[in-house]
Amino acid sequence: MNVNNNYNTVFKLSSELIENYQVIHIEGKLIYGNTQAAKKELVENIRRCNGYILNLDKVEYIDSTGLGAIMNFAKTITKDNKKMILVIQDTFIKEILSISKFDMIFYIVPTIEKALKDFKEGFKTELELNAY
Amino acid sequence: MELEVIKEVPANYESIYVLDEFCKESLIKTDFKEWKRLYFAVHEAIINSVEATIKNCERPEEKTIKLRIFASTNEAEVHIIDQAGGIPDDKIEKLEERSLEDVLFGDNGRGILLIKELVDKVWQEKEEGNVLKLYKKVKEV
Repeated sequence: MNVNNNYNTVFKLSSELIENYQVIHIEGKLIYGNTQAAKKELVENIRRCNGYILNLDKVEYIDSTGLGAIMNFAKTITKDNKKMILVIQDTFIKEILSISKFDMIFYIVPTIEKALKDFKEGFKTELELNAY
Repeated sequence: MELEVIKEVPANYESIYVLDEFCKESLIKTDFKEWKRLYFAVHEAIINSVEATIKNCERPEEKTIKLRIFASTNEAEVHIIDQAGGIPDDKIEKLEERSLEDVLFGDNGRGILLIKELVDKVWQEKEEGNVLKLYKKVKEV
């Protein structure tokens, strides 16, 4: 789905099921003005599966409200005892997530393949999402 | 290259994008090495400024927000000027005590904390309106 807000910034959300893990691809800018729609779309597109991979590899930019959208999604899937892995390559977005301490609760990898592998082999984060 | 520029726009949601682009272009033009961090912080400050103007001001549609940028290759200072009254002192005191870990599981509340982390100095002054000032210097390797 494409969402276009008043500031001519677009984000696109699509998803696929790979080996019973839902891979959600987000493209564009996850920023103020988009994020209410992003929160809604993310939650509405949740499918029953073993776990979730949020692919942010094509996210051009993210701000504090975009981080809030990710957190909102994570809390939603945690209610169902599911886990999530974030796929990110962009060094600045990774830095923002690190400064925000997201790397304490989210497992972050560079590729979808690595996420699928680590889901099968198991992974740990410093803090559990259900600690909130 | 040294640069001093100013842009004034109506205090509305559409202006966030306009000021974002103005800030980004100005910082890149001067080849300021830490532009991404400062740009992120300025974006967050502009959001706060627009929201505060719409929430706190009478006739917000008549209000404006100004962005003043002083930049060179090694350092930059950005002023966000509005008529919304600035961050109340008690809120600033609370901010001093809070960290990003405190808001880790929240959907919001991390904007101003991120600003603090991303720039070297953030302070506010009263001039022709409320002025939030952000300063960033390139770290020497």
